[in-house]
Amino acid sequence: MLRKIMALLMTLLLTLGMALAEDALPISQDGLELKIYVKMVGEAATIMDSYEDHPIVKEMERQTGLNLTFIHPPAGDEATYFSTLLASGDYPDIYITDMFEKSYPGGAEGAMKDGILMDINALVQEHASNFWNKIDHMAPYAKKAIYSDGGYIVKFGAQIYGPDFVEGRTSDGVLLRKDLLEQTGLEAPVTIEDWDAVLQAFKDMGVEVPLAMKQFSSSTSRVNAFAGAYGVSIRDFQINDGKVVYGAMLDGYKDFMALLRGWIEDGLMDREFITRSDDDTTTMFYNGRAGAIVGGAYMATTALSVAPEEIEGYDVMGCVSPRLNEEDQATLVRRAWSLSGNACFVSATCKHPVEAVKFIDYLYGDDAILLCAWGMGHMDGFDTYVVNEETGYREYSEYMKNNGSGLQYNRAIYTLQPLMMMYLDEPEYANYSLPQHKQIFEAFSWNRDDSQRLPAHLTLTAEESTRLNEIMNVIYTYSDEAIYKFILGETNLDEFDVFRQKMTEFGIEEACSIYQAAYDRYMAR
Amino acid sequence: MTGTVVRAGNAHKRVNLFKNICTYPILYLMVLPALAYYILFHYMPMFGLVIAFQDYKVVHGFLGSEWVGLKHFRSFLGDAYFLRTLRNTLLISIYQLLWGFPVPILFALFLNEVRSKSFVRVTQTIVYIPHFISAVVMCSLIRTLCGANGPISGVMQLFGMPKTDLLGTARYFRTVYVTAEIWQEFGWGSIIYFAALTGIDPALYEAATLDGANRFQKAWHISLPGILPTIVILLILKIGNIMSIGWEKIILLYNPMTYETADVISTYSYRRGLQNLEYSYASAISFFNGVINLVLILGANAISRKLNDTSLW
Repeated sequence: MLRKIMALLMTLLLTLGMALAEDALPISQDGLELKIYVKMVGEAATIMDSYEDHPIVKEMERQTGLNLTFIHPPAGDEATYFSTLLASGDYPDIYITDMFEKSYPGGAEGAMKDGILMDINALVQEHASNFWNKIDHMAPYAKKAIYSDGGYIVKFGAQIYGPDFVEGRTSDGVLLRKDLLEQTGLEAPVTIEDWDAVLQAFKDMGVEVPLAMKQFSSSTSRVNAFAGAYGVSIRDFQINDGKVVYGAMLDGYKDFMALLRGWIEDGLMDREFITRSDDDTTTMFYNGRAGAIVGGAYMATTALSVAPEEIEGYDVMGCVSPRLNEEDQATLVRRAWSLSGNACFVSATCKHPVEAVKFIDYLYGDDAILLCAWGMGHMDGFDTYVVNEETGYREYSEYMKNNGSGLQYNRAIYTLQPLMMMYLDEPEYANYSLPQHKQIFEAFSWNRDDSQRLPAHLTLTAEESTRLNEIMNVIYTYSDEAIYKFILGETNLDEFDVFRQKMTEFGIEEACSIYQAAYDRYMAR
Repeated sequence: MTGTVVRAGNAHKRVNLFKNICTYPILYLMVLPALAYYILFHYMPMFGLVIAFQDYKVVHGFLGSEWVGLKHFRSFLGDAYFLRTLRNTLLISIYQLLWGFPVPILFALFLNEVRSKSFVRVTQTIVYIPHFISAVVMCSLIRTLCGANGPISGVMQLFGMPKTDLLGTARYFRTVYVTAEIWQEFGWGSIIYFAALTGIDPALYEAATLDGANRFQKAWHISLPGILPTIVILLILKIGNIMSIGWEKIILLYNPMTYETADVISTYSYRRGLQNLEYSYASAISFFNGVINLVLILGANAISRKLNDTSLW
């Protein structure tokens, strides 16, 4: 019911948006060419060489009067291709990528200062009415994130996570075998104490590895399962009362390590977790060797299609973020931010920046968004979407859902996600249609927020970035080894202060101050 | 213009290069493509080493990037873990040389004594095969064997040792790694020694039989000296590679618990390079490795020449 109300609200806002948008089409009268750099969705690359052949692109060319050409990096190796592209000097007109923020020293602002990207602040202010419209109505909290520390607009062309379903979503957490839990007769675990009981019960029932953690890496710090209960993040920085600190330096981290150490001694966790990858944990979960893992909601889909053949009654559920006391709030859980990591940038060598900005703004228009999200509608012999007569809302057609390799594949071919500037609820829902998903998302979202996490859109200067890299390599090398030694019982927990002192020697304070400076700049935007 | 022609083990003869080219033009023409390849792809790119002394940014190119002198070298050499990674690199390489170098030689010598030609052929083929196993498959084999519940651990438990995860214990890492390398490579490495053995004059063996030498004496006095030049040259080449350890296997086999013995220069800098496109830093490290390798190979060559006239140049 709530979903229907939100969908109705969305449609109303969209129509309002349409009414308010400038009548900006066509953008060009004579087939002006714009070369766009964008990553192709994996499955689409198997069918077409370039998005130039995509029906949606052809439709866009018809509507805007532009001639769109594309450069695509090879799947899986974008980093090398991107740096080669920058070195070649042969630039496209528009980049749609997250590589500038991720790996260019100084971020997109650095690229603008180095003369690779154009400063489009003025153009965006003047021509991008759809964009501002959307930001004001759909993502007002994203206003800080659009600008870099220096005031350049660096998130023009970022995909907006719309309200309700995608916005603020937590899609990772602890997944549990529901059928095993029912056999134990216990309730779904909320506190650490509950977890002690549940894992012990699993062990008594004969589960090989009650809790299959994986090695500590940056992704374990997405939800900080179990560590969040003690107010620390597993392998990341966090904010305590406005100050940036490193999780492993806090007192709570000692308790966290003691917890895991105890579980390993009792056989509730296994020693091999330090070499385990994501795929290993999911495999263990699917074939019944593990009773609980930390993973994403999407894993439930695979789990439920693969496992029930072997194991009778196999069922999956999600758990709320573990905490010490039931009334605690978990504050270290990642939430999907209002803007994606991608953004559109105009190259400094672009001869037609006005048209480029207008085109990107066109993508923020509702026509373009609907087109990219749902597909062309009527195609040769089938429809990509149908309008549900009862509700009046769009749904993916049977063809899209069931033909060939299924919905994900068809979406990659017939819709155009890389150019879709805002996520809509219905298409996202289509991915998560099992009843378990609803439960999982609700569990993942219960009483949690990300108030202690570092904001996602911090930017570091080039010098800060290099220096941080230097320090963190040493820190991670030391701390990974030391922390595992604590957890596996090879070092006594009394030596925790020695550990902290060494971390200080290696420069953890400097790293914190770098992040503190970036954080302060972010808050001041 | 004169050059010298060196034949391994023989005296030097001075030959006029220009006259030589005129007399044998076809030979030099045949060498030309290979020479061009080396100049274009190995010598010219050496100028790129200059980025080790710059803050190389892809967009500014070689000439536009800021010159920083020894900044990256200082960062690398002053790193808290530099000595540890250097030590691990050297130790793993030296162990590989110490234990791994004699194995193909011994294997070739022993198999050479076997009468049955078909046995030799079959054994050789079986022993070559591990060389072709990819690093990933190999490491997955090793992980299965070395797990806490694996067969090797089981055998150790029979001898009363505690149950250990071999790949999770720092002091076992080098043993596991070097043993796996030897197992995989000794067959392939023995090919060249077999080839060298065929070059030994059979008359020598007949003369030795007449003198009453047994198998072992024949191997020691004829076979081994016969392939000694090959051995020395390969040894020199291997010494020149001490600083370069293939990082793929190590990355697949190590984990933070074994950093103490397994973390080498290449893996340590790989972890650093994951974030930024730090070309300059990586180049500085390669430069450093290259210089050390060069010094070692020059030294080994000089020593070899002094000791027994065999040398690469």
